[in-house]
Amino acid sequence: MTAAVLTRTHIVRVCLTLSGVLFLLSFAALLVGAADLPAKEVGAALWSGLTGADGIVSMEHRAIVLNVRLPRILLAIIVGAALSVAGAGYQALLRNPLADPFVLGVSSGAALGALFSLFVASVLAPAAAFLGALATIAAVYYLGQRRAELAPYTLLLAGIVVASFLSGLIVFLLYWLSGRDLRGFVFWLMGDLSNPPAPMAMLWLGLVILGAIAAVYYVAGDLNLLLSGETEAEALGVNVRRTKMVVYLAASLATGLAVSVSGSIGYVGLLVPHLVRLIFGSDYRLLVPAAALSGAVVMVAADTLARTVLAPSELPVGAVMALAGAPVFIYLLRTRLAAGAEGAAR
Amino acid sequence: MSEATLLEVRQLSYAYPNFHLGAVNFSLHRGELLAIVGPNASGKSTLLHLLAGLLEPQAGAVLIDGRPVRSLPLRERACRIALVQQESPLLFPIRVLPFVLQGRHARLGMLGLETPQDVAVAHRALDITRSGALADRLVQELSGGERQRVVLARALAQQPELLLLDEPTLHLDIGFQTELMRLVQGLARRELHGIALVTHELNLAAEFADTVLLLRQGRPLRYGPPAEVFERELLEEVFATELDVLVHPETGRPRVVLRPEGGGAPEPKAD
Repeated sequence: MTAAVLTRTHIVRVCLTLSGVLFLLSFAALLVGAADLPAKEVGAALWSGLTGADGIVSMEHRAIVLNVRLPRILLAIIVGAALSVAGAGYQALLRNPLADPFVLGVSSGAALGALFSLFVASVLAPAAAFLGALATIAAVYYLGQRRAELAPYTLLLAGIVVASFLSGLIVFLLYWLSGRDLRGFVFWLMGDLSNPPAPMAMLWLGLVILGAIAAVYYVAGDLNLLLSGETEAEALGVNVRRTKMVVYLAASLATGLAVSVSGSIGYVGLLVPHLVRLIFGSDYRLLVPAAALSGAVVMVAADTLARTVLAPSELPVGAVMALAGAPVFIYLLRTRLAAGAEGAAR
Repeated sequence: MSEATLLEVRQLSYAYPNFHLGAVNFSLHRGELLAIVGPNASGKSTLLHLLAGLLEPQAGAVLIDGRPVRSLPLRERACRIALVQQESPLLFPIRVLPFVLQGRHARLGMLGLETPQDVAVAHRALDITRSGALADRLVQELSGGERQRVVLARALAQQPELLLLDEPTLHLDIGFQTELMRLVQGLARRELHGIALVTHELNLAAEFADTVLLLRQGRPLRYGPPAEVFERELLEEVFATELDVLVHPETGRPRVVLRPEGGGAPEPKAD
């Protein structure tokens, strides 16, 4: 046997390694912030949170770790995993290496949905964001076709146009909402993790997003074949319609929920799957779990930067991701998509 | 065994806006190589997609071992019928062995990973197509001929009974064309696949096919052994150009050549 064949051992090993990295990074992220805490204090705070043990850590440090930093890191993990898997899913669904919830305007659609819900009841925000995401990707998919085929550049342009249109609507809505915390909205729109939901809401958020990731993983083998085209995939035994529907719903659910709690953070869904492909190869059966974990790692790192570089002030994490993501997007545009378009034209 | 009917096509028709295919009738035996020929836009690829069960016939039937192909569950269909399309665009880099293993997809569980048996089948498919040495290469880096063999290997990894090929010799030079056709013919003869291939290369069809189906604008004009289909008047009319049909002195199979401009009346067929 010469070339590497994907094995279960390999998948488990990669996931354990990435989980280890995520754990260490998250612990390090608990140490830094407006007040730097020693590792021992953080460990004691976590221990007291877990067991209810008293007196091993100051109340102030305990509160910083458990009520401020930990929820925010957990949120970063959930959002990072959701957006990365959504990006990987959209890339296969649309057969476009540059597809990503942000680039396609799906994040804007979700944000618009969430904003709309504020006129009714803010508890509806996640559901409204999901609907916004679904409607946007449907519109972009429709607009991105030429002669009943997805055209790579047309699709991207459709996404950009839809995103800018939706941004216009968002600004329009903000006019009516301007009595409220406008700076908070602006931060939220740029992508911000500074307002994590309450513990129970966070638990639900995590579970539903885990379910969405599991759904994408369920069709991972099919997605590998979908990349070579729908006819091809069907001839190889893929239920194309079902696979597309699963990814369409799951990726939009993940995006919608992520946006409803964190605003529209760009480029994670683009950057992370490509990094994972470079390191671990493009088989979706490894890519999906690896992208989820790597997305969490990238988001925790980005958010830690966002809240420390200008401490005690904060940047929205979306700004950090955009600064890092835009150059990578340009690089991919000039290499991967060019190669992909050539391949399609040949 | 080799005479057993694998595929039966009865009164098959299909329609797009401004295009109608049909009614097509033929049967294909195990071990038989059928060439589907005809001018551009004569419905050859559409017919191939109908045979693969990817399109629902407007009327008539495509039966594999007596069962309508469209009634087979998707995965079972992929285990029995393999289709090699003209081009397989690839979005991301992939190595040859994992690419060929995609042919095993229909035989895996939902989250299944390939077993050593699947890998063995893939290696055998690579050996049959004489591309075993390519296993580690990136598909994107292969030459046209290598790539065509690898795509064929993926189809063979499906272990199909029916193999459908859409212009497998496209973009190949004459050396690769003959090599590929010998390979395909060998698959029919030795592995007893039933094979239907679409081609523009009339002489390759004449040399290697057992039967030929000639289509024009969706209408089947003639079906039979190459010598019966490749008739000068018929081909001249279908392809709207002046041709001669000669007979190869050794094989007795027909050869289609251009008639020189200003050439007089064609010589009668050589004996």
